[in-house]
Amino acid sequence: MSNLDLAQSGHMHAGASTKRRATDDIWTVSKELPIFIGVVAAIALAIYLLSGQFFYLNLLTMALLFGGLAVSWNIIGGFGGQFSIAHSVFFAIGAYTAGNLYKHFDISPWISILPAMVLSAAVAAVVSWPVFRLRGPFFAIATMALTEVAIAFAMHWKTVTGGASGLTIPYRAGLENMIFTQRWAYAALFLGYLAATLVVSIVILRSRLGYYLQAVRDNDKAAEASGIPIMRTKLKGMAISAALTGVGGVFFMMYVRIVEPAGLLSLFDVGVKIALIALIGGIGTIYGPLLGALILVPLDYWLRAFIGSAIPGGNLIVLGIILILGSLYMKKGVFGALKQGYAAWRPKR
Amino acid sequence: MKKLIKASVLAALVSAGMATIAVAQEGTIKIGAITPNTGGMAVLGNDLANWYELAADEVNAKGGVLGKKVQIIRGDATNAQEAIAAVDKLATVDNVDIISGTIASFISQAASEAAVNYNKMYWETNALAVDLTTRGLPNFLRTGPSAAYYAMQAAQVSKEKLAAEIGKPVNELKIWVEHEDSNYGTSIATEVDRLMKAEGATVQVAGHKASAVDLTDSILRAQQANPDIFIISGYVVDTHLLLRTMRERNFKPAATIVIGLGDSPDTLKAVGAEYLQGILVVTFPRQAINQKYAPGSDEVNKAYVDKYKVPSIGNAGINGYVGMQILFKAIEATNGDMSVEALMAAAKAMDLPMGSFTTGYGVKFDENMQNTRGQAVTYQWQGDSTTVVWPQEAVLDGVSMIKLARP
Amino acid sequence: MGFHTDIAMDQFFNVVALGLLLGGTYALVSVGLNLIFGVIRIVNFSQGEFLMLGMYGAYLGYTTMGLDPYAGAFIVVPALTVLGMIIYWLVMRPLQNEPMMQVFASFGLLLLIQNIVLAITGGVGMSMNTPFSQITLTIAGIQFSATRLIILLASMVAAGALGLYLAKTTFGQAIRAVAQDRKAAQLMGINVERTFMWSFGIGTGLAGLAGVLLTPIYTLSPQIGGNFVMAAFAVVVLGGLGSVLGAFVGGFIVGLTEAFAGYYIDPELKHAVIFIVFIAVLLIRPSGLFGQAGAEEVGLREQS
Repeated sequence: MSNLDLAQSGHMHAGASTKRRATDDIWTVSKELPIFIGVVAAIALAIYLLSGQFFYLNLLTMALLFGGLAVSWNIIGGFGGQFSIAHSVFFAIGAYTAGNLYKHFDISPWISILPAMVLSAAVAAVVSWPVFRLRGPFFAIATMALTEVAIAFAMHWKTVTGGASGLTIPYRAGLENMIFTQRWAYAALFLGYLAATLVVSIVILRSRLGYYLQAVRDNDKAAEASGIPIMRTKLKGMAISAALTGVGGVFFMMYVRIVEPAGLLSLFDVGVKIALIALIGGIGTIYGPLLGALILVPLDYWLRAFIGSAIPGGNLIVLGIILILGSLYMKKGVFGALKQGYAAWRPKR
Repeated sequence: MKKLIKASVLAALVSAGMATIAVAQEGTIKIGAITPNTGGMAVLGNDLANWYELAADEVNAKGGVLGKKVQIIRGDATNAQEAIAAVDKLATVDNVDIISGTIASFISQAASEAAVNYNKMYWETNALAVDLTTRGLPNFLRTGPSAAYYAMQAAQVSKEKLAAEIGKPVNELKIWVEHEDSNYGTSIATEVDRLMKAEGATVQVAGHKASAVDLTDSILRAQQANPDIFIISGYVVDTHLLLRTMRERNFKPAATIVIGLGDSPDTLKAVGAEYLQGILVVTFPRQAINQKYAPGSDEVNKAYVDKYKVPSIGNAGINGYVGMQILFKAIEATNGDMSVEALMAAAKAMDLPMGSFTTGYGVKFDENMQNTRGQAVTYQWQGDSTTVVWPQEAVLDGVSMIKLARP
Repeated sequence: MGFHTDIAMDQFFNVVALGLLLGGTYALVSVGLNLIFGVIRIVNFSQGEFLMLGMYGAYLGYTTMGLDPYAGAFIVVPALTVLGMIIYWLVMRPLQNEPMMQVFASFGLLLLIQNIVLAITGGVGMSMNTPFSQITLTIAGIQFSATRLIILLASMVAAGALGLYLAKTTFGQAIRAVAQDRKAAQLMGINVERTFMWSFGIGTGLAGLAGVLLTPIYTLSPQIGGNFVMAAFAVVVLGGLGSVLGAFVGGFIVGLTEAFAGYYIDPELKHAVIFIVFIAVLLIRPSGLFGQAGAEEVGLREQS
């Protein structure tokens, strides 16, 4: 057989055309760029179309926020396989940092992004270092315990967090305050956040850190044997992931302008939700978490708006059923299911 | 492919959402009601929304407000971002004229600020945080209790009745305030602390988690301190647990005041009649209250049971009922103009004496748009149920406060 | 400032007694979770909901048939065991090799069960007045509530019975075998799936038992399961995975910690103290006090 035939048979599984070259399959950042731009443009278009429909615009805005949070989480959770449900802690750190600096020192939230990132990363490194030894469910439970401790801190440390009454910041519109009168501006802001997290995610995935993270995820004993510094890899991934999550907290603070411990740190509303979104969308992929957010967040709000008022708890019943069915039938996430469907749909050669 | 999927998901959501918009009727006054209908406060939220609907039903039966029917449209919110979403939905999808609520203060905060964007009136009937009215929000007023109502009543009863009963001047009283640590309990406890300290009494404030598995430690600490008056500000589960634990430990302070709840048949089952005798409950008109003070309260509580098959759970719900009635009056005064400016002006101008409404309220808003003509009342467990013992004008003939001193 | 509250030492024994009684509660609540977690390695967040169902089941028996909750246990516990087995078979078994999906599915169950009860009851608090709930015993000057004493006794009986079951009966030994090494157990001819199903059912049944026994103490609400489940996880990990004795002792450690932290530090902080201790134990001896050393390092992948 000629080399061409061999190449042909080799590529048959991918269902690709016979004229493909071997280098086509190597994924690079520059290849990713058009897709990335396309995604961002599509969302921007959606924002434009919805700019007058505030209810749906708000759904999209929150979906973009959670999308960004899930993409951030995915760096350590999906690429690294470390299922943290403590990311709400970093989210809260970001929110409280921005809120306090703005309220007490009149510092613009744009500037607060930096201390929020640094603080979140630092806390992440400190608390996760001892916990990274643990595997699977133990790690998850440990992160759960961390969240509980954080809630107690937040309730008790009233000067910083306002305790149970929460931290409120006054409404002073202006770009420098990250407070806008136009709702679409917030949507654009969160799109910016999402885009930033996607960029970081793309860069990491292609970088050595991303390679290490995935190696650790897939088989850490083997990774260690090949000389990959496991702890350092995990810590780096966690720190970056936490920093990005903290930034999301900053933006959230300026959108809602009142935060309290339960809303920021509650397992369901934030911690588990972020991981869940990534899972449902497709862990370990770039856009999976975004897709998960675009499905789950509007669904959650929509259910609450149209069912929650009629039947107490009705919206959460539906959500629970969706979660169960989703875990059962969408193990690879929607993204994975779509990929499978797509591969099955494309004509085989 | 991805973009197509994303676009179609969005489109599907949008169209599905549009299909279930609340049916609008011609010439209806639509009032949005934001309450927590899920989560830990579900009981209270649902109760409040029920009372709103009761008020709407009653006025509709009489021909409505200015000839138009009133329609209450519910919105569910358990935290700030859900509050924003609820306001969005009510304002843009349901096109309500006015928004009301809210039970939880942080939800009210976020919702009322969101309502500003739509230039809608936020007619608060039930959230407690004092600073809701001191924010200076242009579309906000509160017809019902701030934490101060509860606290003031507890303080007044302590000062004007209990001190004498106990046999000490007010500034020698030792008071322990046991509160659940969320915003609700804390805000009331803080107010009681402030008011009683102003009288010179010694006050100890102690918090606990409403979800605590055991509260014996709190009771042991309180017992150690040996207060004259023990005040509880909590939710149902922890209040019942506290009372049960107190009974177990034989902790019998000279006076016990439970704020906001603790007067239901369920409390009787949980704690037992024997221990409950003499315990005071600060709340709003339920039963056994002088009908001159609280006109029609017996009737309306019965109407609630008739409509919803269970007695009202959150005692503050009746505030929502009265709040709605005040709103109807305001709309009548503006002749149907439901803009923020018109309603605020009408509300400011209202001047009705105490006893104008079922809760014994009147209407007079202060400069922060807080209704000052209102107060809670104090019930006491006597026999198998509670009866009003304070203020004097609310007490039924022949009823008096029973002996508080406990062996 | 408030008046000086003398946190005196003469309360010490009261606090110890409190801690022991509380420990009994935690031990009883955790013994079922320990089985599920230790054997099947599922982080079952819905465990608290089975406890809640046990409470509501007992309440239902009380209001419809006048059954004292202690009698109602005989109906409620088997019912919840069967329910657990069904749920395992339908939801958990297909997710055998996807541990994180199991976690999410258990969250879904939590939402589902809790909100069904919320929808049906409206979230109204319900209390029961049983003859036992009013009794307090005073032994050597220290007060013990009868209902909590009964729970303490029940926890000892349940832990003891479970321990015996696992040690002496064939099926119990099968469970232990599967907990240690799935593949080997399978090779020995044990039907692993059935063993898991049965274990899950026992776990949920025990949660239901705890619920039933707790009914005389608490006012029911749909969210009440959550009050216990966090501490239960702490107990299970503290005591050591898969060790019945560990869960039992762990319950007392948590109970005593909570009692002392609550009385001597601050009732608002006791929850946090428990979790700080929990994290400390996780770091120092992650396998728990009685668990096999290194158990926590065994991820779930190795088990499948």
